Amino acid sequence: MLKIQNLSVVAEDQPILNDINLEINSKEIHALIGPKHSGKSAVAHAITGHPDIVVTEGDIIWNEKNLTVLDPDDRVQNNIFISFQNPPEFEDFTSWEITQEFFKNKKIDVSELFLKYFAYCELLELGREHTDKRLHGMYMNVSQAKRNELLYMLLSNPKLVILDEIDDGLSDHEVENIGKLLKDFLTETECSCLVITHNQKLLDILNPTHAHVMISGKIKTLSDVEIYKRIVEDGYSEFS
Amino acid sequence: MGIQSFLKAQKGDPDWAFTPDQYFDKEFKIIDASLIELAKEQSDQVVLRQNPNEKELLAKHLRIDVREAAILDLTIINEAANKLQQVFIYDIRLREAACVNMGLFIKGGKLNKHIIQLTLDDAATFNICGHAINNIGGDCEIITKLDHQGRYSVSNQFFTCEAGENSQTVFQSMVNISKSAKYSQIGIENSNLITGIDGRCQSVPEIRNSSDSAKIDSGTSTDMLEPEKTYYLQTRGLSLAKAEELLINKHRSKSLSIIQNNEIREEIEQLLN
Repeated sequence: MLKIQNLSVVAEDQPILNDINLEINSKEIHALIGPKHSGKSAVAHAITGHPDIVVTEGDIIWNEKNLTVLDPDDRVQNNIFISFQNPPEFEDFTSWEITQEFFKNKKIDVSELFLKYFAYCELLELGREHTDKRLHGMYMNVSQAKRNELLYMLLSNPKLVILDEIDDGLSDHEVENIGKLLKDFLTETECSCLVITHNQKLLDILNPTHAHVMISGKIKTLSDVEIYKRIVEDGYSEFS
Repeated sequence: MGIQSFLKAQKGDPDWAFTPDQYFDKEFKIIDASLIELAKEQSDQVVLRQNPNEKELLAKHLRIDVREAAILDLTIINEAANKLQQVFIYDIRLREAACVNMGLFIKGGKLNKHIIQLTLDDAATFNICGHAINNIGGDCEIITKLDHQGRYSVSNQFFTCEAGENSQTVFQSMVNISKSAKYSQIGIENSNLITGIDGRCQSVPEIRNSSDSAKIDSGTSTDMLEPEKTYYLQTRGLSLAKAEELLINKHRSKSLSIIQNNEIREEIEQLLN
């Protein structure tokens, strides 16, 4: 279970999150919606320990461990996975090269890893050539970069998945495809999920168990999860 | 820092040249003067290890004359002590159909400057790759002046540079392609990585083309060890130290992978680490 308690954070000395509380239990899917720059991504990266985000108050507890005192790599060792809205580019690395680096210390045989990697490439419709694609916009388009993030998610076997605008830059058809894949994955693995998005189609497919609105660094949990549909369509004026 | 000495190379004139007089017996003390000569159709492999550790200002002049159709593989491995200021001048003459494959790997020094100037006759080939690293607050410089005089002459330069905290690297190259250098091929690539605060990587590739049939490729890029990248790698399970090591080693491997000899490559890897 993830428990965020009275969390306040600053980034570059500016307050970003103000006294937020959030609980995500096993198998729950939480939608986090809100206007741009309201602090949604800050919640995601506060959980995984972005170096620019400084916790000034509160705790983030995951399975009884206080994450706030851990480095990002130690946090994700506890089966937390985050997909980035804009994954950084690594022009010198191919997708497969960097995958091997991620799993070097995880006691998994390279050939076994490759078989899994390859199977997930097929599942994500990335094709055989994805193995040699460099992690850069010149070689990989936005859709491929986002599906590459999901490839790492599938390989990571997480218990908590944080999806930061995974739909950003994707066509409706692609959102539908990855939405179904994600729904199947979450159902099969009984994984908890925090999904940050503005995309109603994605939310409809994932069918969240809870929904929250983030406004100016504060979080408001919706009394009825279905309300998100009206908010996504009409905007956030009622919260301002 | 030796920024002033870097500026000396910026005359903007294709006829500029360094002469040992500029350094020797003046501010710099000569420590050696050597000549490598390869006779016609001869081939040789030379590794020069330079580890000067004197506190004085040092300079070295190396002349290389590669005769017709001769082939020289030359690797220079240089590590300078922290306070040392040294200048190396390599004067290379490549005669008809001669070939020099050169590796230049330099590390450290308050000023660690390597000046390569060469002339290429008909069908001569000059390939050079290397890596310059300074992370002790000093300045590593690689300066080349290539004069393509002959037809079908080929030059390829590939350098990676790495500047740590308050340190500097310089790659400056001037390639002059004369009117007579028909069908020549020229490649210059410089890839830099800044690994510390206030690190600087200067890159000044210049080409003056008077030929009507030369093919030229030139590229330069500078990147930083960005916290966003290391954070991303951490969220994939790598420690911060491993993440930084991964990015730095990948950068270095671009030039190291060109070295075919395993023993020499390992020696250079040790030097850079």
